[in-house]
Amino acid sequence: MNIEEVDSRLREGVPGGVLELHKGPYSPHLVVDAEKIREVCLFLRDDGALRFDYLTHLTGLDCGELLCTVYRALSLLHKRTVAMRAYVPREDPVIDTISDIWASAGWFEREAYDLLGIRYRGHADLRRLLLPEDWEGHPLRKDYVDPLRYQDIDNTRDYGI
Amino acid sequence: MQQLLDRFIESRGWTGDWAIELVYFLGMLFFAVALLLVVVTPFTGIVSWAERRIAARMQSRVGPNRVGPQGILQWAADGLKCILKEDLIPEDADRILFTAAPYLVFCGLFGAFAVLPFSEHLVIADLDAGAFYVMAITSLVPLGIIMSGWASNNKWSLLGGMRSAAQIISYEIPAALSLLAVVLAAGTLSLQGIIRAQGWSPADWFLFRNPFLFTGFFYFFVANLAEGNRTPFDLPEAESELVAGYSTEYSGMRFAFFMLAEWANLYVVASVVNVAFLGGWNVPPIAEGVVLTILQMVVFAAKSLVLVFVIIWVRWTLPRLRVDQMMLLCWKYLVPLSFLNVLGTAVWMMIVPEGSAAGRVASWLLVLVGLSLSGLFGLRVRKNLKDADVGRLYLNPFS
Amino acid sequence: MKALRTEDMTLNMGPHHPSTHGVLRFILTSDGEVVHSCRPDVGYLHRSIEKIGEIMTYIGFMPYTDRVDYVCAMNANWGYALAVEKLAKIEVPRRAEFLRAIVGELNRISSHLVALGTMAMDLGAITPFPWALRERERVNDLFEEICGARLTHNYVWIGGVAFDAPDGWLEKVRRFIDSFEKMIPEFNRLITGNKIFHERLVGVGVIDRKTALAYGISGPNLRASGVDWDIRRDIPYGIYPELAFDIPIGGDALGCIDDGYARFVIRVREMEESLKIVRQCLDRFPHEEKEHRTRIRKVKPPVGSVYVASEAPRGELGFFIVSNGTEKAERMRIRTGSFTAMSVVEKIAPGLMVADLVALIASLDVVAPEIDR
Repeated sequence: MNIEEVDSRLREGVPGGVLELHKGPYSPHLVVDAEKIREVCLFLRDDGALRFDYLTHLTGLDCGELLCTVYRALSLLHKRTVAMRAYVPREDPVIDTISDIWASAGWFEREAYDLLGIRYRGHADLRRLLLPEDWEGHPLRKDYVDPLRYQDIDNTRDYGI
Repeated sequence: MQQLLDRFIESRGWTGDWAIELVYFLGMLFFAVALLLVVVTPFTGIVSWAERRIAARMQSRVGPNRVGPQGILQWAADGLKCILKEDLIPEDADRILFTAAPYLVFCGLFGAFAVLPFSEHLVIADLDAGAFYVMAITSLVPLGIIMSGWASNNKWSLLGGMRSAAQIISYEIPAALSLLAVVLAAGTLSLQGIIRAQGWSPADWFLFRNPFLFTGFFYFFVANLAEGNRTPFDLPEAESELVAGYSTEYSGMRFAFFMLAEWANLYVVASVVNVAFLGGWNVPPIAEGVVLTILQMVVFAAKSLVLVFVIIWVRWTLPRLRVDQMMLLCWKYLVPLSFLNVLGTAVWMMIVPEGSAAGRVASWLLVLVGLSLSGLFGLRVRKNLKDADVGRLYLNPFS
Repeated sequence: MKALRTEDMTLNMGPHHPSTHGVLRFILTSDGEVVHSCRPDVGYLHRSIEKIGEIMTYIGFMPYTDRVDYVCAMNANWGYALAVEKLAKIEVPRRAEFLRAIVGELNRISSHLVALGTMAMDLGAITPFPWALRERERVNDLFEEICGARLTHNYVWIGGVAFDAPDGWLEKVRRFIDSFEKMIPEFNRLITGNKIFHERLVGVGVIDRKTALAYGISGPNLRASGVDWDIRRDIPYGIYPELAFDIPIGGDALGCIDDGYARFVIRVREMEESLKIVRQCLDRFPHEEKEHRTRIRKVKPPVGSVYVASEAPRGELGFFIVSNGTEKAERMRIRTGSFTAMSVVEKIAPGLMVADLVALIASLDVVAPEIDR
């Protein structure tokens, strides 16, 4: 089963869930309606023909006007993967969590929240993962500017040349 | 020695009981302290060096080999370093307990040397209750460890201290019961008396006296390992779990005291096992006078050092038990079995009188059992060596 | 009678604790020795490698992949090279594929040796650790000879490998695997078959199949939970399709499943399989082909994205690269095995004893820099 078949199966199972089947230039993926991400993921995991039981990875992308969460699920049974993207507006980047569907998303979402500032609604423990709790900004956004000071410590360096 | 002191009193022309008492007291104290400082401390240090070298060999390393020939003075260098180091006391620690704890540990173990014999006549004090004294004085050690764990105001230290308390209190019981069986057989609590009740030949040792004492040896050895916090029972200072356990917050000389006590304990454990089961300083009657004393010292030290080596060997081979498994081993196996031992020894002594033909036969049979066990072990080692690529053990042990 | 009031104790394990394998911190609440909850606090080794990936050129980023997981730098190099090669459509000479497989599997052996040695050490057996490191030194010597570095190799390059094998190197590899084959039973005699070791690990830190899949555990840890999944076989890359090797799985021949002991034994068995792979590579090595690298001046892939997973010793190492058509990546995402393995600790830890928690962390073989990147 290739991505087209996953696409058609998903369109049957979750009407309106898949917005678009992207074939290029980026690697083939399904563009999923951010509002319906939970239904799509649940269907992917539980549908008898799909059985995507393993979330390989989840991460965020900064696409300018939009922020995007990239999902990649794997079906060990059928040995196939599917990639999905869900776009949210930059001003209000909120999307439903899937950490209760695949538990591994728990930390992945925390990391994406930490580094890109996408907020996952319903996440049980959405704290920063890698950076300190009081860090300002989300470093992997393209408009991020390195802070010159952190907790009154100078981050710049005088090379004395 | 008594004559020496008497002559000293006479030469001064002192009279009266007070002088004799005082001179005796001071003289004995002086000799005891001298023995501890001159003999025991370097001995402990050398045991520590031996442990490190042996461990290094087991691990394909070289080990300390720089200070003195073959690194034998490493302990002195380490001790000097520890003395020169800053003595840190954590701000929130309980100062009095924190500073007192290492001394208690130290006293507990070095006190035991007071009754440990080195030969038939070379012993600081041959107490009538020697065996009891050893068990009692070494109980100062857990007290010191709990104090250090509590006073450090560090949760890891506290966990180490609590583990130590639970462990030592539990293992005192099988150790004491196994020793009790020996005391039953010897009919005395004096360590010298226990040795005198044995003979120089293996068949005369308590180890091979009867089947109960034979198994009791192993219980006693294991229980003593546990009391001495040695692997596989080194839970109080389990470095991968509790950082360094009760000694986490210590530095400098106080830390050195803990270490010194640990290695002194190695020798104490080995000596007590030696006294109780392996015939102590008993030698064949082939010499007299000073030669005999030296021979006895050599034999006693050799037996003890073999046991020290076994303890070191065990430490660098086995993993560590978990707390509950450690308790399980003690209360479910060692305690009931050592009770059985006391009972069995008593019954055996009633049925088979000491020195009877049946007793001799049983002893020699047990010697055979012991020999064949060691033989099996040797065969196994030979097979392993054959399987292993011995050529790859490329380090020279004396480099 | 009023019940005695007891309180849970909060323990701070790390960031400098002997058994946290790098700089890691766990906030434990415990009732004496029994852990009630465990909150891993990661990020102490966050070096923003993903951000650096957006600043460096594709070629220039290669040395940074060494630092993702310095215990198996070859595999990280390889994973990254695979991703960029797929993105930029670069061919790899056959000789380079063989060299990659050899160094990759040798590094898997050395990485597993570190894992096994530290695991034994965390359980109180210190001798297996120097033994394992002694063997690892020999692998490091081999690496030093082929690329000049012992730890961060930067050996696998985009389009091939940096250097061809020096004269006689392949013979040295063969000599190493011949002697290492005897080392494994020796190691097993020392620690794997030890009764205390067995008691400490069997049934401790059980991660069942369902939990393992849900938490995205990968690599040996996943296989120890009885999941038959190995990227080298199921999504093959390099020359793995041509090679014959078994994939040890918890439960079948090992007799143990899901627990710490299974994870230990799986790694021992994987070293044996790696030896098999290296031997096959040596036997079939294409001596007649001379090219070990496709000469590339610069890497400038078209607009696009790619996710390529490879089987690193610590599980799935995936590089997700988004290209914007320039020499620098738009987004460089690294998915590592330790990251997901660490996330499961929170779930498994409650109810374990402190000593078991140490065993669990050790058996998952997490390496802190790989979590934090």
